[in-house]
Amino acid sequence: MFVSSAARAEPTSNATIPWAQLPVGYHPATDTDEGGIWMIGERAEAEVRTSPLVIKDPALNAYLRRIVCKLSGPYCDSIRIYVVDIPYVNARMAPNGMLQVWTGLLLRAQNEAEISFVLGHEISHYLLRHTVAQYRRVRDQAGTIAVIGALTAGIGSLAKLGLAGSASSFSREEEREADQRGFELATAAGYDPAQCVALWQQELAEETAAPKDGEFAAFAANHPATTERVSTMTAMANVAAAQRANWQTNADAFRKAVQPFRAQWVSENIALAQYEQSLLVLQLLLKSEPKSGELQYYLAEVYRRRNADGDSAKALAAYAAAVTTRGAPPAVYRGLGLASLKAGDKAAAHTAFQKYLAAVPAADDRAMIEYYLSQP
Amino acid sequence: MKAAFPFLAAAALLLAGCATPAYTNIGAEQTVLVTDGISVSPQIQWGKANMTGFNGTLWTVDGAGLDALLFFVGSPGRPLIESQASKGDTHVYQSSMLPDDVMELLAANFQKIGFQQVKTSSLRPSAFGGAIGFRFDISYTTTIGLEMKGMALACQRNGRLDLIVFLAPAEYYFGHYAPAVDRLFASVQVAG
Amino acid sequence: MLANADSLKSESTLQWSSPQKRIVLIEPDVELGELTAGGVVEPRADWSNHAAHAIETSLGSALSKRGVDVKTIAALTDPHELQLARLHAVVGMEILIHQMGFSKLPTKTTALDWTLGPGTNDFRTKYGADYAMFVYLRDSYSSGTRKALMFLGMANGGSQGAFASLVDLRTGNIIWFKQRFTPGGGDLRTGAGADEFTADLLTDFPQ
Repeated sequence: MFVSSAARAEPTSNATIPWAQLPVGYHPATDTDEGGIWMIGERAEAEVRTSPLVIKDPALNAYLRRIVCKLSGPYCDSIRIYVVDIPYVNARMAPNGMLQVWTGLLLRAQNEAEISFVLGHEISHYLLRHTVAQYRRVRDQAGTIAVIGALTAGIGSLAKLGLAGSASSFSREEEREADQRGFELATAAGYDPAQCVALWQQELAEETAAPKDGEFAAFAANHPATTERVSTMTAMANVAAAQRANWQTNADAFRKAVQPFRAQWVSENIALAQYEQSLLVLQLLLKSEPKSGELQYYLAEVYRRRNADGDSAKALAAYAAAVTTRGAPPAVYRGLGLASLKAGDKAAAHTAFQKYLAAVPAADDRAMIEYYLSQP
Repeated sequence: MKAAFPFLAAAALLLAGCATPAYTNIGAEQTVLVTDGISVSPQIQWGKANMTGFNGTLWTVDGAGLDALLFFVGSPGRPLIESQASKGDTHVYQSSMLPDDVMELLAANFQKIGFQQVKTSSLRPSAFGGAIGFRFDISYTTTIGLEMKGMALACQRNGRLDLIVFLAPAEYYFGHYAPAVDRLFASVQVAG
Repeated sequence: MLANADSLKSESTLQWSSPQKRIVLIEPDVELGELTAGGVVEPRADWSNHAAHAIETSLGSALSKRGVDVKTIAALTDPHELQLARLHAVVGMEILIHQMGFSKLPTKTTALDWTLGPGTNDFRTKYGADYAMFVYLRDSYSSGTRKALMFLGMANGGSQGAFASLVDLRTGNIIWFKQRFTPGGGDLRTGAGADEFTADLLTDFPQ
């Protein structure tokens, strides 16, 4: 059924994951076709490993590793996780066991269960050796995009995101199989099946809002979050729900793991300057944390920067809400000052700026704020 | 896949329309008119790139990937950087922008052409000839992970934006040329 | 000012600070690809790995024969070293474009005036070496040919390139730079021909 390295005698199937197409600890012989494909993953992994976009924080990595191990059981040691700081929703497994998780995914997830279905899906592609078949297809096809480029796209350049998607397009059958098996892995580990569609629904909403020629649209075109897929997974969830009484979401553990990064990831999302999509992300986050001053602040920032018709009033309202809500960072006064200045309300701007400087005496833009204050 | 000239630092992306422009000499001692009404004293010798397909002026000593001094004029309704690589960028300059907005706009335009992890900081007022402009610092990484630093000087007058940006690798090159660029910024003269 | 269109040097002899005469050889940055029928070059990791290892072995051996102690560094992990290696890639391309190509810079009039800066002393202290050598190779093959396209003069210039440099770790200055190389008879994809490749690479190498 498959060729395993002659140096190790492996069982031909795994008792806990009987449908896996490769034994635990598998590594193809280097002079085989599959060995060559594996090497592509290794070269890509060497680039990923030294990329400045990889988040090496031990606590976050340990947290994600725990999830991967819960899902993949004895295959856990064959999978290496890389948290890549790219503000798009993606997780991707290479033929050699390199698993990338992009921070756009971690930002939008509401709990550990949501993540588990995505990771289960990727792990299934690996266990079913879809990744090998896929890269063989890509390599054999004339006029196709380079395989390493696909694996490191995003790492290399956001502008290549469009390429990343198409080169990693699995067949519809492969995607369906990975959805099914990934669902099984996650539910076998106790994760609540009702959580399996939330991220897909969010992606659908963002795709709809995205400008047609924006980078997000290019990326999304190759990672279809189709309504068909959402309804299939919803049906699976409905069937599975009754099987247990105590499904887990582990929302607390998840929030604790990602909280230290939240402000950074939201800022990076806003820095994309794709504001319709940022608003959807913030609305999603605010749904479960309506009393977060931090999120209110970022919402205000999006309106201020977008500066479309009516946004000035929305920004001012959001800043006003943020300053009265716990958790808003001191920069809220800076934003309020800027928005007030643009709206022509100098008195309010000056009050806000003074509050900002009082709260952040060592602000790196102190000189500029003082300049604004000095203007009559 | 590493594409053609993949690791030329980000400034070189601006040259995507013309891979090998000719360079003319800019002597250290001249006073040079860089854009309509703006002149500077170069401080050190530079090579000026003569090229089409890019809306700014580029000076360099060692090549755009190692040090790039860029002169732009921002016009209302257009992005600050316009080239093949920036096509479709919807983030445009408006004359009602505050210095904070201009800094955010440049960061967005840089991201559009492929600079990664773009950060701006230390926004502060600064002389621009006899007028008051502003300065800020920049950092980013290139597609091969080379860390870069930058400094910008800008001024808004009469509805238009003048912008001078210097970009160079954090390793050696930025620190080596920063004092000369500082003096160049201080030498700006505005006609009229 | 150029002694030879394909190689440049600012020093003819190497200056050593210790009798050990050590050069750090950074793992060759090699990418060999296949030119597909659709006109796209697809990297082949297997070809690239074989070629890189063969060149590295051959180069190490050839330099040793010249009485040099070679320390090979296979995979950089130190952040500062990574920055220097990436900076070198950029400097190398600028030399190709501006010094050896047609896009001359008025600021570059001497034989070879390029540097990585004195940050290279980190390599010096860590590895006890006076010089570092870098090799960079991008080339492609179309099916059925044993010779690489760049060397057949058929390359699409934008994605091909071959250069090697020697950096004085005390100053960071590039003291020797060679482009192109003439290929030998062997096929680098399998590692054969690495010795001929190396022999050509090292012509005009400083004493």
